[in-house]
Amino acid sequence: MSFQFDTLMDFLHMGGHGIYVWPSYAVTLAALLLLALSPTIQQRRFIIQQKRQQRIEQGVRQKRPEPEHVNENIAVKILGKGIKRLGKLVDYIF
Amino acid sequence: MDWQWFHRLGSPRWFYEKTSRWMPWIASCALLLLIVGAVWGLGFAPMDSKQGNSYRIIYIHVPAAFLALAGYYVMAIAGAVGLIWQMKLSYLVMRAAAPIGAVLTFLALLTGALWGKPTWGTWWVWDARITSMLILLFLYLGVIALQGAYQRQQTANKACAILALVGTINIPIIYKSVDWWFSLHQPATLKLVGQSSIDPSMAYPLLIMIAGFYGLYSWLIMHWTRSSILEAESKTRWVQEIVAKKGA
Repeated sequence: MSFQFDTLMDFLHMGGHGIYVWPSYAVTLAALLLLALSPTIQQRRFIIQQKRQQRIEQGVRQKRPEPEHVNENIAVKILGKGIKRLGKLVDYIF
Repeated sequence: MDWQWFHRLGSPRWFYEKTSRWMPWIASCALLLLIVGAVWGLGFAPMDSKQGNSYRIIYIHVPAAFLALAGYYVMAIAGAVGLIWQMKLSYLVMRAAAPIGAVLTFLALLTGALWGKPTWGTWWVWDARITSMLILLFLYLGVIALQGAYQRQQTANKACAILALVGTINIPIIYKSVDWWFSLHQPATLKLVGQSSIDPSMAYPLLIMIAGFYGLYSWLIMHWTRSSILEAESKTRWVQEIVAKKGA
């Protein structure tokens, strides 16, 4: 048993049949990869979504108080209040 | 008689945990076989005296067609088990088998067309083998479509199982089509009984590829089933523990 083709070009050309043989193998490879990867992607999405769900449920159960913001920066505090008031104003108008 | 194994088989959790251990081995065996078979078939098997190099497509055409048919049995039997014993797991297997089988059937038809052009001078003929394979593709697509056609999952499962069972009539027709009707399609290359029409130097890589496709198929069906098990059982404690264990 030996390699049937003399050069790489021969191997790719396959006596004129390369244009049928290589696409067959390429499409098969692509389709099989698709079959192998799609459940993996689906699982990953599922786990991310479930983790978010778990986090929400934990938060509800423990009633964790909002972490205290140690806001030294007065300007930021005032801006924050201002934005809140602006928000209320916008809510009121619309 | 001890039927415990049979009931455990129906448990999604048992399936998930068992296959976690099997899958890496199956994947590596299948990958090794597929690489060896493809390299052997593409580069080292001798050229066919009549068809030239185009026959090298056989190394994916025949295994894909093999598994398209075997996959239909898997789908129909899983559907029957689901109908009879109401097993949760078997419907999940049935639903996983449909897209895998559809892709394999598509590959068999596509590689057949690509092989037909240089060999018969045409991409497509409406002969018995090819037409019955096209029907197989439609059966798979029908099962996929039916899954989404019902509001209730249980109703959809039953409808799919019945369609899959009715469709099995097509399988012996596909097998026998090359013998019953004279056509362009060549008769079976490998025979269980009697002389195969293929030289051993060409047959070995083909057998390796078929074994590789079987391994790949079993890996795929486990992979697809496991992913739907997680979603179907998402409320159970063991799935929540798996989710909690996974990073990020």
